[in-house]
Amino acid sequence: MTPTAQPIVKDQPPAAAVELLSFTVAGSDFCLPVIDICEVRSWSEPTPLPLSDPSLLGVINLRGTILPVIDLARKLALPARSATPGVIVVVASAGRRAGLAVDKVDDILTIPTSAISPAPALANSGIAAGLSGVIVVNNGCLPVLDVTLLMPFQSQEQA
Amino acid sequence: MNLTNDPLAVILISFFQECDELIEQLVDALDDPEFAATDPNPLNAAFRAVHSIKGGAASFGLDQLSHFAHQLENTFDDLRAGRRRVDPSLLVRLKRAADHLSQMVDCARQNRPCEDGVAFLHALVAAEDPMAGDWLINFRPSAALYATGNEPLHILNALLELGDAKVDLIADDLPCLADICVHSAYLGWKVQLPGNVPEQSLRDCFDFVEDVCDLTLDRVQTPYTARIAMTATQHPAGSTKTDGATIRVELERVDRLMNLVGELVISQSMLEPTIAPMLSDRNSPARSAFDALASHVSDLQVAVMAIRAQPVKSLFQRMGRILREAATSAGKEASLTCLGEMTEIDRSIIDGLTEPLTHMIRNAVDHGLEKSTDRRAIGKSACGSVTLSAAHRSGRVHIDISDDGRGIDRARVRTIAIERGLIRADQSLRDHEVDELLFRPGFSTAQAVNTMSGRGVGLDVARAALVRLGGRITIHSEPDRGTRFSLSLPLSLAVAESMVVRCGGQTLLLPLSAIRETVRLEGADIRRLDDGATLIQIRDQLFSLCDVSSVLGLPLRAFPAPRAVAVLVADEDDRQAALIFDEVIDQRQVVIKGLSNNCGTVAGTAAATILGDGCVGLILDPTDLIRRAATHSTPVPNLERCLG
Repeated sequence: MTPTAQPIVKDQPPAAAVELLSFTVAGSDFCLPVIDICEVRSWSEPTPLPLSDPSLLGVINLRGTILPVIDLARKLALPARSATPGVIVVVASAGRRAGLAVDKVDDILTIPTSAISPAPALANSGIAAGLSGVIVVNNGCLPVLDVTLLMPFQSQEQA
Repeated sequence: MNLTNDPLAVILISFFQECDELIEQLVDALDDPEFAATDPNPLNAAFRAVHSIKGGAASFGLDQLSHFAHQLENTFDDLRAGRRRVDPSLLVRLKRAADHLSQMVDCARQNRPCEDGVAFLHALVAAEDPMAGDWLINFRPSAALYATGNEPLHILNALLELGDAKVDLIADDLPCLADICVHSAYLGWKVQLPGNVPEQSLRDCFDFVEDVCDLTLDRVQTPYTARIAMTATQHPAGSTKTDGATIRVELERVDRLMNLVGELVISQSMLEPTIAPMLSDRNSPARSAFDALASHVSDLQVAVMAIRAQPVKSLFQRMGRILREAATSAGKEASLTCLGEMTEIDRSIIDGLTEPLTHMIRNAVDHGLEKSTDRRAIGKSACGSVTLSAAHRSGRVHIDISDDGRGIDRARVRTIAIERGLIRADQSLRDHEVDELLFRPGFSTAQAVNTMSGRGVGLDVARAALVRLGGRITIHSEPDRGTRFSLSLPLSLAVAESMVVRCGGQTLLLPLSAIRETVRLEGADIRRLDDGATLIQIRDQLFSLCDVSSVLGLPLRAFPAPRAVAVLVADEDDRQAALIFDEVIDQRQVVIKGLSNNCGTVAGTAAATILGDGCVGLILDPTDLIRRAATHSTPVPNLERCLG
């Protein structure tokens, strides 16, 4: 945060920093902007949907709303998860909600926007399917995911 | 809910809703046999309704609508003041005008142009007005008129626009030039206008100036000359509404309440097994508290559903309009009788019923009723009668549309069905089977495509719309006695009576409205065709048999499966197929949850619900399943083993 007060402009955070939630999927670390996240909830077994995309695990009851749960490991073409995923990260995009199945959530990071590099062109990587940028952190990099790319289906307007 | 941020648009929406209610009151008043007879209430109600529409429309700048309502209001005002009398022909014209008003509201709502209804207005004011002598207007501005910045020329020009006017200047009081005081008024005008100009239009020209001039309106050349003093528009006497006070609530809030009640039901059913030991003693305080909770929850569910429920009255009224239109265009006489108008049904079902009912009413007029001359010839009253009735029966709403027309011409239906290739020429059919042909896609008995019902769509479309609402339709007909369509509909779209089945390890729900029959697979008469398709014989009919597990890609069952059943289901067009499920568990009411918003379309699935254990259960879509089954040519796998 900068010490001086700045006018709040839409689509632009007051300070040039973002909060990110970092989590682990199939042994790899990823993060998502906190602003896209509704809640993190414990695992409940989804009801599978017939003939659906393999990365869609099914639907769960989120306090009366039917919530699709996405197998993030499969969506990002990571090695298949071994055990039952630990938690469901509920995200929202364009008025629709979905749950992302992840192993565990780690931390909330505050990162200056300038530290996020645009996603490199990764022609042969499944991760590129959901990537919006990369943060370089001590000798490694932390991919930042884009929620809109992870939603289970493209809505009619976008299709 | 798609809520716009523009406050005016929000008010406009509620104005249109109010218009619907007002038009309903107007139509009610016009239908009242006491209209303009001894009881002044219906006439006053009609006046108030158009008056309110006029006021609202004017403030939103809907000039066309406000103008039309205004003219209608004048007619009612004339009736109230005894300047006109109600005769049957005026009543018919007033009803048509009310229909037109409703159309204008619809046009304004959808922001599209509409006929301005001048023809209606002329029909209203023109004929049979015994006092239609020419108007003689005596207009004499006072000094105050000029002092307040009014200009007689504009008023005179406005009068000229109303018709062929003759204007004479009265300058008798004009003094000689030297004596003229610039602050005084000396001139007056005499204007003669045709008698068919509505009085109110004349008065309107003098709006704002009536208290600063001398004005008389007279009729000339009539035995009865009315001298009408200018009076401010009288506000309708406020007779209080007899029904209870209402508030307007966004549908979204009600839906949210409905959702929460659904959640409550689920929470309760999840709680029950966990505290079962405490409940086992019938006399324990826990048991009585839990029973009270259960009963309150169930009352609450009924109460919330009642919020969304509305009487079918508005729908039936609209049908009255449709009937009049259809009768006019078909050149027939017809009257509509409505029974059980106060029967309540979910709002969204009422909305969904408009189209199929419209179609069936037009159908009744076009194909059911005979022409007046033909009716007289066989000893019926000249005016055909169509009856709409609604009633609650065994947890559903039943709506009947019956006419006293000629009945279904079964010989002709048969001929057409053979022509269209729907049946074989030598096929023998029972009467009700012939009647059922009317619902087949592509069947239409209209000999010429007319503007009303024969628009290339038939009763099949009406039936499909009803099935989408979870409804069923049956037909009964007797030659020369008439035809009756009977509809059966659920009370609400929010809950569905469903059969709970197991399939591929999942608990699934099948809407009861689609189920025709359930047959045990064990010992059933199953045949295999050469192309691999499997058929099942149920009594004397063969149905294609398919396994839901394989159609939906679910894991196949463990063998043997002695509890497996074939469920005969029907889709919107009454295509039937037998679907294999592993087991039938139960039948229960489930709260329907939308799936498409978050999940898009899901194969074979219409919606979802929350099961008693808090998990999601999918509600199957029979239409999609039957379609998939038809294209799913693979044979039922392991059928023999499944039969055990």
